[in-house]
Amino acid sequence: MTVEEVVQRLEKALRERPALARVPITVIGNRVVTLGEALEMLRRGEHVEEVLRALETLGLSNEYEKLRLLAAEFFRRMPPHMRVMVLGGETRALSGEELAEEILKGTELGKKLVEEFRSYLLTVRALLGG
Amino acid sequence: MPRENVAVCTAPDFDPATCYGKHAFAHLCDPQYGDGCGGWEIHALEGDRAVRERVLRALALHDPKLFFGVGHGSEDTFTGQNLERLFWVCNCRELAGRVVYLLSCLTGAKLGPDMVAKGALAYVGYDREYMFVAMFPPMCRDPITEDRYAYAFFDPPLVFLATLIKGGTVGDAFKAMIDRYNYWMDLWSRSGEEGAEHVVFFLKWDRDHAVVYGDQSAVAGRYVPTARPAIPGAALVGAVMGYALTNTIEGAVVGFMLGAALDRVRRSRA
Repeated sequence: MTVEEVVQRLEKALRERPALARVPITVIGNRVVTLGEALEMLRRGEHVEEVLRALETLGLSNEYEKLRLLAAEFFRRMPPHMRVMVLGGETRALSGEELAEEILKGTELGKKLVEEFRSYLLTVRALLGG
Repeated sequence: MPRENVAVCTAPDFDPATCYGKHAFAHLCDPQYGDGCGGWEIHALEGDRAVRERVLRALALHDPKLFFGVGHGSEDTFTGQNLERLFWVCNCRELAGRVVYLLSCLTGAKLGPDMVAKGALAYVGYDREYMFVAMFPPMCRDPITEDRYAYAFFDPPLVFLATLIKGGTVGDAFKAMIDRYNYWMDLWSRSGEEGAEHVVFFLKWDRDHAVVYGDQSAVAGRYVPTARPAIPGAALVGAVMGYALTNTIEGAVVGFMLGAALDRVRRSRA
């Protein structure tokens, strides 16, 4: 598939599902890149190879540290007017920042969040028609 | 022998998460779900009544075919008000012969299979944390009418229960619930609203960790349609009364909302 075709496919997918544009998919340099930003980079011809590789391996990469970073960043960007409530053993209403902390501290919940984030990326990949 | 068309439900409300669940369950007989729950007896143990002694008494007294509840849970325990233990591994024989649905974290890991091993007809629940997105600040809200994020997380469980109420099998109900999670995931993924991606994430989480054990062909009862005055009728009476009492449009609007709400409560308690 040519870069132009990838761009067209991404444009169509993100037009239909704009929520996915804010999902972090890779790290380029020291910067976390979302799907929407990846599309912009392809349009501008920046880091084309890295972006294409990230799209190709979305949810399939075994780089746990990178996945952890992406997952933490995903939750850190959760809007402040949202909380995540848990029907678990204790009363909890977690902010995005607190969810990111769980990941960075490597708690039981944090590990599950990373694992689920990988699975989420696979769903994103499927929704993009990958 | 558990009685068909009878349900016992526990709904503690001691913290925001359980309180959301209690409010959600109160919608079970709304038109879009159980539609009046015709032919059903539903015994709800809410708030301080959601404790083991009361639950066991209700099970013995009403002998329901369907038991459902919201509450905090762990792999081997399901709790009620103030985290009082209701059922735990090796202590759930009271659920033998019944269909069980627990809207709770983790009970699908050990407690659910144990319930089925001890004779429960079927168990549906979750083998990981049940997590849902809610509006800030955390407080007791009705997820169906007051929290547009949480709505998507409590609607699928209601669809599950409504399918059972309407005579569907456990398998039918489970499938309807999964379809509903998919519906909400699809809807939120199409939203441009900031945070929609997080709603999709947790909907997927809950969908992927919903589990069913036991007899999927089991039914809990059958639905008997009942003629009830439509909600607009009650709302209209409320509006007329509101206007007559206050002589203002605002009074009519308040009366309209009050009439609709009272009718909804009446229906859900039916």
